[in-house]
Amino acid sequence: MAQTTLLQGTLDLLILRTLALGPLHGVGIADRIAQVTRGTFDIKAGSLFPALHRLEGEGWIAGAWGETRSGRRARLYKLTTAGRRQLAEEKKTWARVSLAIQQVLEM
Amino acid sequence: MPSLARWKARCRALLYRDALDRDFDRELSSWVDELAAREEARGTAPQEARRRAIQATGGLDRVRDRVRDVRPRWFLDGVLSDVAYAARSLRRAPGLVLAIVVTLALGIGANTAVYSIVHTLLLQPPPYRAPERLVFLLAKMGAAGSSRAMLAGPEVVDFQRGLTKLESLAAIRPASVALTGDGDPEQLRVAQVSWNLFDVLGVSAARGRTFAAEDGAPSPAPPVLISWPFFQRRFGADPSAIGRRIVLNDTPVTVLGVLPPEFRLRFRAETGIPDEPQVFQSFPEDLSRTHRLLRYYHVVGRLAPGATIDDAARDVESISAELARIHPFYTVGNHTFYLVPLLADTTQAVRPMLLALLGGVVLVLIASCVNVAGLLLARAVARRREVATLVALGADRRRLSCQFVAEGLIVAAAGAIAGLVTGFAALRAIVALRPPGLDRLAQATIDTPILLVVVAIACVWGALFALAPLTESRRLSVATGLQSLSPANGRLRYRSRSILVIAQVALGTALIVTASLLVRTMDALHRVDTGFETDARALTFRLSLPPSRYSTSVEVNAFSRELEVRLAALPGVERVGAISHLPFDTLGNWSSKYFPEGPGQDLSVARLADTRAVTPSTLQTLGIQLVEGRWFTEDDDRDSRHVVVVDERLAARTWPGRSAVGQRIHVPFLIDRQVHTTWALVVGVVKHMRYRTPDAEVQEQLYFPFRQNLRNPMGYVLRTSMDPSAIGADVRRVVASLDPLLPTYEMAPLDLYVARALSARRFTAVLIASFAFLALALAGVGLAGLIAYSVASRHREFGIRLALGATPARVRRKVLTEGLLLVIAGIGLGLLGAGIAARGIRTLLFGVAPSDPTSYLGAVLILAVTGVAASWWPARRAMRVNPVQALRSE
Repeated sequence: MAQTTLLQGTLDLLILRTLALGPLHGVGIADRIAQVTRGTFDIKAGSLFPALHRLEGEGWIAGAWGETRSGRRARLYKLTTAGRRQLAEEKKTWARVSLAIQQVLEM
Repeated sequence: MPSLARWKARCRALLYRDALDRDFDRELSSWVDELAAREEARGTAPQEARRRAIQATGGLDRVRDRVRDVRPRWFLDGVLSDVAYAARSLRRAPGLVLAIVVTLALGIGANTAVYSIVHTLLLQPPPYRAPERLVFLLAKMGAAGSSRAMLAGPEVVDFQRGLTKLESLAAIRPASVALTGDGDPEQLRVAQVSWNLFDVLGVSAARGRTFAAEDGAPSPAPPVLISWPFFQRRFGADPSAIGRRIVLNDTPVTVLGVLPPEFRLRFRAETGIPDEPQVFQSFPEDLSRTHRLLRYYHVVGRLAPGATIDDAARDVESISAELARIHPFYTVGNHTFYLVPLLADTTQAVRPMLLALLGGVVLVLIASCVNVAGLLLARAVARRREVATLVALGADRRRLSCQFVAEGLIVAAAGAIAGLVTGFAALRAIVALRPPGLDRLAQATIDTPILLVVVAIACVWGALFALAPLTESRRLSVATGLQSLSPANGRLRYRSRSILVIAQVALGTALIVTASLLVRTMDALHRVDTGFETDARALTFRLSLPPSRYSTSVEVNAFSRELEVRLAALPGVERVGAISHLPFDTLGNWSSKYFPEGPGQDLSVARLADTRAVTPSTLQTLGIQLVEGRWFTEDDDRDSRHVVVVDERLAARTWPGRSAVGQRIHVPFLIDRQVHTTWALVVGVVKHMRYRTPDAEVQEQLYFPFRQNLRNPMGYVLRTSMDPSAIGADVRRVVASLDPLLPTYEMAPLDLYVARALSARRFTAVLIASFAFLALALAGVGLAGLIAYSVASRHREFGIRLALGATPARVRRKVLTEGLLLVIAGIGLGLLGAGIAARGIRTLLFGVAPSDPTSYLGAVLILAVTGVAASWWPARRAMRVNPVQALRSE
């Protein structure tokens, strides 16, 4: 599915929401999102990593080296308290935006 | 807290950049590993699986770059990387960088030094309170022929009492006393002043106090203030010096206080008031009781609050009118008073010189900037390809501009630093080598605002021209840039650079003409017939006989005769003479009113003549030329009739068509410290002596025999057969043998005074000549660079010409002609500019007109030769082009 049309802010929302359920590494996040959206959002490395590092820079997620379930060494990201607050904010914003778009489409 | 985490992330990003990069590498490879493993699980070969995984990321480097872009960064981060890039690319062109730095160093260095000098001598206010409110009160004596005269004591008192628009008025006169007591006897520079001088100037004492009203009472032993340097040297900065009594001219006086370290008087040189008197003494005399016709007081006043100088001038006029009413001789002698602002007056003498230097050095700065611009433009052309490639590869134009600006700034900053170092060194050199008359230069230091302005100019200029490659790229399409240089664009670049070269040649021409005019002025000054011998080896020194021990003319004359005998007996001394004012002396001038016998002739219409007292042997010692009659002899002494010698001008003016010898003239004589105006016989006429300035005949001149008209101090002149300084010690011994308490002071070779007279002009000439050479060098380099570039860019064209049968000599001639055309254009422009500049320095010139053809022709010649020389080497390279190679290349 066309990746580039996904807004940067929306990707942030997806990542934060995905990590709300528990810490994951990069591959894990991409897998989970692809799974849940049934392949609509297939996030590549070139989009995911910049987003992850940006979110880390803002302090909403925290990364640390650890082991995945399959025993591989990977960088695991988890949601911080600030990240949780940000997620709630972004959810609200998303609701407003999608409502607005819906209203325009139905006019 | 988010902000705290953000700050931590930023710091980490800055400090651990490499570690973070490595960290992400690992993260990325773990991603790739995992995807490759999945691919393998689907049955793909391991290598193929890995390749597909990497391909799926879209390019590992791309991902890395994007993550790096996202990482929190400081503004500084980007700047640092730009600077690093700029430094690397500059390192690839060391010759260019060196050329730019050296050019800027010379231009900025010269400018910094000269601005500092101008600031110190012209702009820096004297150390008084509100100096713009201070004025000088001067007299003009119309009938006597003096436009600028001092005031007499009673006049000072009259003005002090009568003026309302000036809140206070103080008088000053220079003097010299001997300090005796503990330590060696020393002759001191003294300023005798009104008690309120320091109130007028607004200066308070650093230690002790300044004069109060009661200190101004006339007294044989008035109290003194001492200068800070004198306090340190003679008293070791001992605070107990305040209140102590010191012995001046055998009279004990009390030291009331010490003046601040930065205090100095800054009066015009011809007043004879030194910049730094060691002692300030309240007037011993009562000014109101001195003779109204004896004028030797300089008067300075402060405007009353709210009054303007015009208000004060009207005030002065009304008092003058009042004085004329009471004393008719003011009207008869056309005697008036006027005010001049202190600030303008004290700088007037140096202003033309400093403005000339300022003009010259600004031209040098322009020449440097032009050179730098040319060099940077040349570099821009050389980097066309590089820039076009970068743009084609997707380089952000803004980043490119930043990098080019960084380059320009680095080079400009390096040049500015080099310039400041050069300027500092140049200033030190100038101060160390300063000519004798310009002692004020010693106070010149580099001023911070000057620093900043100069550095700012350099940086802006460098940054501007560093952007040249970019303006280029805007016009270029990528295709043209990557191909060979098309002639059209090359010609445009060539035209802008040739304009720059023409400008440089013009500047060089203007400076060389100016320098040549000044050098010829110096030559003319040296050849002036001063009327006496200045090139003999001669030693001079001064003696001031204190009235306490030498109160009568008998005592003075006895001492003087014996001294001359003993000095003449010294080995190496050929002749000895004494004169009240040495040639080109720093002592204030002495002039006397004279009038001849005849109807209607009296003091009120008397004219002024420059007066000197001399001993009989002075005629031969100084080589004065007698035209008629006789000089003084030892028989003309106190008891014989009064005699004078006059100069040709006075003789011609007073007794036209007749011989002056045998005529009688009415002049003032100082006998036993009393002034008597009496008739004297003219016994001789001498050639006019230019002993005040070499370039102008000033006043009529009069000579008194020292035996009849005592002066203090007297300057002794010894003609020597060997180096004058070698007999200094012997001279001191001889003086001490006659009077051990008498200091011998201001011992110097006569050459020093001569040099001092010419010093300001010589200083200007030397500096302007240096600027001229500098500009010439810059023009030569600029021209050579341009022609070389032109030849290099037309490599192919020359190859074709040579292949088609042109002789190498013709090719060389073509290139030389090119260079010469530019030079001719530049010379033309420069001669115009030179004409304007020459008119501007007219006041400094002597014996040579501003339109002196030799100077202009000389400049044309020098620049033509430079032009040919600069084009020669590139022209030779043009004729050596290998046609086959040239055609094959590109």
